[in-house]
Amino acid sequence: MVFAVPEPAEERVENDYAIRVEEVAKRFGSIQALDGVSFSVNAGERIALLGPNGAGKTSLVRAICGRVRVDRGEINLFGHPPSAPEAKGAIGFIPQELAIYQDLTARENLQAFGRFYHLRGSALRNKIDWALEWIGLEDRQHDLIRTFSGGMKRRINIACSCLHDPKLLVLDEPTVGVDPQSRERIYAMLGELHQRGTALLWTTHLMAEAEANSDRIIVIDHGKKIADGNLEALAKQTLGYGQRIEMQIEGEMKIAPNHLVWDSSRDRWVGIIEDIGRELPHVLQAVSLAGGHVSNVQVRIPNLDDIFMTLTGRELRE
Amino acid sequence: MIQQIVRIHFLRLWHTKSDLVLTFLVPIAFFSVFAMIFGNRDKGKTTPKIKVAISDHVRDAKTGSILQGIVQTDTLRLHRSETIDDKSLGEVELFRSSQVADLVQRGIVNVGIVFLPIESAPVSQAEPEGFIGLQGDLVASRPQGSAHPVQDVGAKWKVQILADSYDQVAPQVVSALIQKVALADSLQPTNRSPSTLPGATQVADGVVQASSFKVGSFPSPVPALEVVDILGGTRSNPAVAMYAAGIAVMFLLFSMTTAGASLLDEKENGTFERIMTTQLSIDQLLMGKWLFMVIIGSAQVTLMFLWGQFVFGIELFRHIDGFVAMTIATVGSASSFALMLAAICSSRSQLNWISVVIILAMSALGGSMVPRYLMSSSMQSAGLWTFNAWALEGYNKVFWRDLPVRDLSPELAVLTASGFLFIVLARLFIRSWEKSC
Repeated sequence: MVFAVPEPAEERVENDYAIRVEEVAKRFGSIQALDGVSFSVNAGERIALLGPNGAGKTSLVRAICGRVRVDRGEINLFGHPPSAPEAKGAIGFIPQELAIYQDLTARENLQAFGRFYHLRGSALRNKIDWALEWIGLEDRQHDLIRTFSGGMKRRINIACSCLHDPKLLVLDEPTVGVDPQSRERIYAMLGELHQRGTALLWTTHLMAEAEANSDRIIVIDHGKKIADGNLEALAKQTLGYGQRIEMQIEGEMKIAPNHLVWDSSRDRWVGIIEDIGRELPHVLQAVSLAGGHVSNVQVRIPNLDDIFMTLTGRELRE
Repeated sequence: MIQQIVRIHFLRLWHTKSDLVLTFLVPIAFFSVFAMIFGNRDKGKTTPKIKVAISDHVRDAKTGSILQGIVQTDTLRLHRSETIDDKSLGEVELFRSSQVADLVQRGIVNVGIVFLPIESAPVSQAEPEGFIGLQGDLVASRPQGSAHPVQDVGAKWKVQILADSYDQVAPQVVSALIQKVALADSLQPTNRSPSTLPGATQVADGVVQASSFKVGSFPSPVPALEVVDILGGTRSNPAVAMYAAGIAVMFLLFSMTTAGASLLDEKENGTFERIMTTQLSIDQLLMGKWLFMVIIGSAQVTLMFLWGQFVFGIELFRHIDGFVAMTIATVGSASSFALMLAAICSSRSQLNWISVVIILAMSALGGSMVPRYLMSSSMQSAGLWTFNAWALEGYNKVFWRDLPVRDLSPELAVLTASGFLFIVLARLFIRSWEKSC
C-alpha cells in the first residue's frame, strides 16, 4: 500500500520534472534492489528520500545518476535519460563518502571537478572563488584536504558538485558524521541552492532534518515506494488524526493494554489515539486492570520518526 | 596480554585471506616456478637445444665426418632457411660465413659453426667459392683473449665458433661437442694415428674449453677451435644494458601496478563513482590514467638508462631510436596491463597480492631474473606468453645486437597489440563494476 499525495492537477510538460522515475526495477544477483519504483520530482523541489538500511535508496540514487542500468522501467532527468550529456550537465551528485582527492588542496579539488563539468578559464576561476566563499574555506584553499576537519571536508565535498550550477542536486546522506554546527552550515548552503531554483533529492536517516529541510518525503522499503507526500499528509494517511501517547508503567501487567505497544528503544509503552478526551481514560483504565501503574504519560503530535516506524516496522534491518 | 596480542594477529591473518595467501602460498608458488626453470634443465626432453647454423668452406672428408657427427646429437638444432626443399630436410644445410654471422647477430641461432681453411685466415682475405665474407668488424671485434685458436700443427683447417657472449653456455657446449666428435672420429680404426692418443686422454671426459686445450708438440686429433664473440666485443658495457632492461621491466610492472591501483583507491573512496556522474567518460578516465602512467613509466626507465649511461657506460644515446621505440611500447603495454589488473580486482589488497604473484612469475619466466637461455625449452616457450620476454628481447636487440628499429617489429607488434588488448579488457572489467551493489 502506498500513501500518496495527489500530483497537482495542471498538466506538466516533461521538462518541468527534474526527475521522473517510472516502474524502475533492478536486481543484483538474488537481491531485488528496486521493485517497480515510480515517482517524480518537480524542478526546484526538495525531496527527502527515506528508508531503512538496505531498502534500495542507494540503488535508486545510483540509477538516477546513471551509474546503474535498470532492468526495467525508465528514468528521465529534465526529459533526458541519465546517461545523456544534457542530464549529466544538469545534475550534481554528492556521495555519502568523502569522494574528493585527499592529497590535493581545496582549490585543486575544485579545479579538477570543475573541469570534469567542462568549466574552463575565467568561468572556472570565478566559480571556484564563489564556491570557496560559499563553503567558508577561502583561507584554507591552498591546504591539503587531508588536513581538514570532518565538517570542512563535507563542505568541500558538496561544493565540488555545485560548480556548474546544477539544476538538480542528489545527495546521499550529506550530513552523516558531522557536528551540529557543520550540519547547520550545510543545510544553510543547501537552502541557498534551493532559493536559486535547484531541485534537491537527498537521502537521510535523520528524520528531524528531513522534516525541516524538505518539501516532500518519499519512503521506500524492500525496493518499493511505500509513501510519498509532505509530512502532514503522510501523518494523516499513516496514523490518521491521532496523537502519540507514551507511558511509563510500573508493576507487572498480565496482558498488554489496548492501544499500547512496548517500544524497547524508548523503554516505554507507546500508542496512537485520536480523541484524547474520550480514549485516554480508557487506556489508563486498561493499564490499571492489567495490573500496571502509570507513573508518567506524554501526549504529542506524531513526528516523522513515528510515521517512518509505522511504515517500515520495528524489525531490525541490515 | 602478550598472548592476546598474538591471538589478535593470528585472527586478523585468518580473516584476511589475501595476507594468508601472500604469507604461505606465494613462497611455494615461486619455489615451484624456479624449480621448474632450473630443475628441468637436466631432463632430456626439456633441455634447450642449441640452435646452430653451419658453414663449411673446407668440405673434405674430415669436416663432413665431424658435421655428420655433431648434427646427429640431441644437443643441437640446425637452423634451416625458410626456402629449403622438404626433400632436403634430412641433410645438413650449409650457409655462407656471412650468413651464419648474421644469424648469430640477429639472435636467430645461438652459435655459428664455420669450418675454414687455415691458409685462408684471416677469413675476410681469402674466401672460398661462394663465401661473401664476414663483416669487417667480425675479426676486429674479437676481444683480447676471447679467441684462443687451438691449432693442430699439421692441420689444414680450423673451426670458428661464432658466439653471442650473452649466452655463455652455448659456445662452450658446441666447442666440447666438436672436440668430442672429432676425437671419436679419429679413434676410428681407419683414422687412428699414434699422435692422437695424448690429446685423446685430455678431452675424452667431456667438456674442455677451447681456450684451455693445449696440444703441445703433439699433432692434435681435434681441429683448431676459435671462439669469436660476434656481439659485445666492442660495446662499452653491453651486459649492464641487459640487466638494466631486465630490472627496468620488472620494476616498471610494479610501479605501473601501484599507479593503476589509484583506480581501486578511487573506487573504494567513492571518487570513481562520483566522477562517473560528471561529464567525464570511462574512456577519458582510463586514457587519462594510462597517459599519466606512460609518462611516469617512460621517465622512470629513461632515468634509469641515463644513470646507466653516465655511471655504467650503457650506450644509450647511440641506441636512442630503438630505446625510445621499445620504451614507449613497453611502458604503454605495462600501463595497460596494470590497469587491467586493477580493473579485475575488487580491492587494493587483492590487487597487491595478485600483482606480486603475477609480476614475479612473469619476471621469472620472462627472463627479468634469470636469462631465458638457461631455461628448459618448455619454460622458454612458456616465457613467450609473458610481457617481460618480449620487452627484454626488444631491448636485447637494441643494446646487444645493435639491430635497427625495423628489426624490432615483432616485439613492438606484440607489445602494442597486447597493450591494446589489456586496455580493452580493463574497459570491459570496469563496466562490470556497476553490477556490484
